[in-house]
Amino acid sequence: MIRLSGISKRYGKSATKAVDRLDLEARDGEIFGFLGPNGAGKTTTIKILSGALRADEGTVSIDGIDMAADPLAAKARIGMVGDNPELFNRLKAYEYLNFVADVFRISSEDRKSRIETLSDRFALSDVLGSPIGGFSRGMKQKLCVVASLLSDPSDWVLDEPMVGLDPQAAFDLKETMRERTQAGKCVFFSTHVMEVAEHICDRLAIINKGRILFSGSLDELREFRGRDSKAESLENLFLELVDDENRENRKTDEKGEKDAAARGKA
Amino acid sequence: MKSPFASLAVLYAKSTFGFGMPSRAELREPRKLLKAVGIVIFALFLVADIGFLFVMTNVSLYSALKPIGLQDMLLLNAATSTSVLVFLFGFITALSMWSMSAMEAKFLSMPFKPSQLLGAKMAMVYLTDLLFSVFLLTIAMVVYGIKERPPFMFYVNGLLSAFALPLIPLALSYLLLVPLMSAAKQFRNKNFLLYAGGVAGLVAALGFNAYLQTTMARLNDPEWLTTNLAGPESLMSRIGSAWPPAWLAWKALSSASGVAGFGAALANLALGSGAVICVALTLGGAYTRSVVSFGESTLVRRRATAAFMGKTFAQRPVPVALFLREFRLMNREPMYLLNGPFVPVLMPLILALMYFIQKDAFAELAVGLAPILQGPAAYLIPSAFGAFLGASTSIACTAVSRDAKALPWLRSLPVDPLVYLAGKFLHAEAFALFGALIGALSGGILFGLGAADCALAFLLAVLAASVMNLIGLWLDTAWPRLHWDNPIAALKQNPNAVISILGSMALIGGSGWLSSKLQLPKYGYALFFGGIFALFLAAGALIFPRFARARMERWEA
Repeated sequence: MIRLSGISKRYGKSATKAVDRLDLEARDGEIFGFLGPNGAGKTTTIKILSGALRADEGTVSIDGIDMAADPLAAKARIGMVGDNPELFNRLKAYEYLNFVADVFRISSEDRKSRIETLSDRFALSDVLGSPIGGFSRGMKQKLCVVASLLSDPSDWVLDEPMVGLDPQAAFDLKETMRERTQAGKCVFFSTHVMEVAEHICDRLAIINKGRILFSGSLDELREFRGRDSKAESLENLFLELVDDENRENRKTDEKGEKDAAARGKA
Repeated sequence: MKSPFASLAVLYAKSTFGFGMPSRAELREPRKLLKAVGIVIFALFLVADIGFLFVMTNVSLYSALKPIGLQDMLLLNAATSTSVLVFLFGFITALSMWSMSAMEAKFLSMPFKPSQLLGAKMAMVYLTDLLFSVFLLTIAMVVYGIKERPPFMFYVNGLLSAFALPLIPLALSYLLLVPLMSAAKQFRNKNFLLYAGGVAGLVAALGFNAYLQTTMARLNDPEWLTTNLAGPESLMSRIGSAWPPAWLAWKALSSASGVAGFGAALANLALGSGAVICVALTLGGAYTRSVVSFGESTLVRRRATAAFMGKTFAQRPVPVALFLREFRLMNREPMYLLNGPFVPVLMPLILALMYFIQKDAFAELAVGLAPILQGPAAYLIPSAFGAFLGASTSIACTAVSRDAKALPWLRSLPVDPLVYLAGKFLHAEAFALFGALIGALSGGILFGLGAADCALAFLLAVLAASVMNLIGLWLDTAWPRLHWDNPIAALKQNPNAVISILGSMALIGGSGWLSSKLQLPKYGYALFFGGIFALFLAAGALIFPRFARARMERWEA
């Protein structure tokens, strides 16, 4: 289970918070979708929950382990697929997988069997001995997926995992997500693809400008937006919600500017 | 509205020469101001250092030629040597900038004519060569100008010639490279090209070094200078007569008072521009095709067999895994290898070349050094050389910057940050041992040291190099370069690498100065310096971990 409480983060000397007092909970046995427009704070949140970035405020708890208090134990429970698969072009696929397995202290027998199973599933068996530099983006993405599952993590975190995947690989990835939740594990992933989120997420959160606009199931989102129809798509709900929020923000900003101008005149 | 060619040429130039100049507001911050001043001083130092060699060559040449009335030959020498050096430099630049990978792939899908793509690339290479050409020719012009007071047109013609000299070498470079890249499959391999460019650069650097060493060694020998550099039968004169741009540049400078000189300068420009335009128009298509095929990557399918799986997937300790990852990633990247771990191999080669060229000077030096070599200097000099080689790899001082793109992922792994840095330090230390060994051994052989003194020199070199590696790692942990587009920026354009190299020079120079002031028994120096280095390392081992942990928490990659 992943729990974020009151997380805020401001980069460098920036006046704007990348994420602002963010609370989230992704439970065991559920696929949790994390949605938001570009620059909303999704990747920052994922970096914070995976221990790659330190929050200015708030706490991150992974299966009850506080990330700040015991980061190694917390990170050992996470399998992470980042947003950039262009990592180690100079390594061969097996060297990369071996590195990840070493870091997670996976025994020789376990890593061998998991690599065989997972590379078969994601059609990478033929290229395990090949340099990653020759891989397509989709193949690199699949390799990152395989690497993230080597430790059989209780919490699987994926940042935009569908980008670059062919239909078969995307299907396999969704199947794997579902299997893991059926085994009682937690899957947390960010995406722009609303259809994917709509079909596979048990619960979801929508973030805009660093703040959570909604967190709950799709039915709860419909209820929140006052829609009865089950046919109302997530895409429509998402666009309306974000649009309303942006309009509200603009009004507040304009009012602030007018007040400031009035104060200036006075 | 700019033409597509001009827009592309400007974009190429900006991406190659684009320095992030600090704003006025930024310069009000003391740290930014200090950094800017430091960079300016360093750049001036570099230019002055190379400029000094050429100034001295030209002054000596002038002094040697003036008494026999051949001082104008100085101009022929300047025009010819600039032509030769610009040709070498231009060819290597054209080779190494052949493909700018991701950026170029985007241009291929835009409506550029092939000649515009090639022309813009040539314009960028030309700008690089032009700086070199103006620099070299200006030095000769200023030296000649101060002594002979030529007319104003001398400088105008000289400047026009400096603009003209890189043009034909540029056209010839692409005339050679375009068919080569289109014809040979291995030339379309990025790694091959990087290694070939790197090796060609090293060979040219060695050749350039040999030229400078030879010239510097004979600066006081007027007879040699006139025979080899400026006499009518010298190689330079023969190249100058046979190579039209050099001959025209010479004419432009030596006949500056008349119309003929200005005409020669214009003819040189017209000839060069014509050649470049011809190449861009005729070879644009072939160039574009070669860049298209350059972007192709071949996936070699190598299925992991059962035997391979059993042997390969054996568990290793985490520090070993981190060390292997670091070692493979740096040493398989040609740009990193050639500018980092390969330096301890290159430096002895340059020094060996210097030794063979200036054997006589070295023999004289050895006679002068003989009394000193009876004392501690016999092992201290080889240890200083070994320390410099051991600390010259830029591994530790770029350790974090090189990983910038992967840092978010790496930091999400259950790895103690100190074990991660230890993997980096171990890598630097492996090459420190290698550099120290080469330095101590070569110095030992040169000075005829015994095995014990050689071993002592090696130990001191390792300790000093380790100190520099720790300082380098400290720097890159404190101020890593986390945002870059081209991996080479993490190494060559990383201030930590520059500070580290200058720091190791300062450490070695300072230690040398200190040993000249101290009065200790022969092996007392080893104890003294070894003790200081060991104490520093021990203190570092105590303080650095806490500092590194706190600092790494604040990284925002």
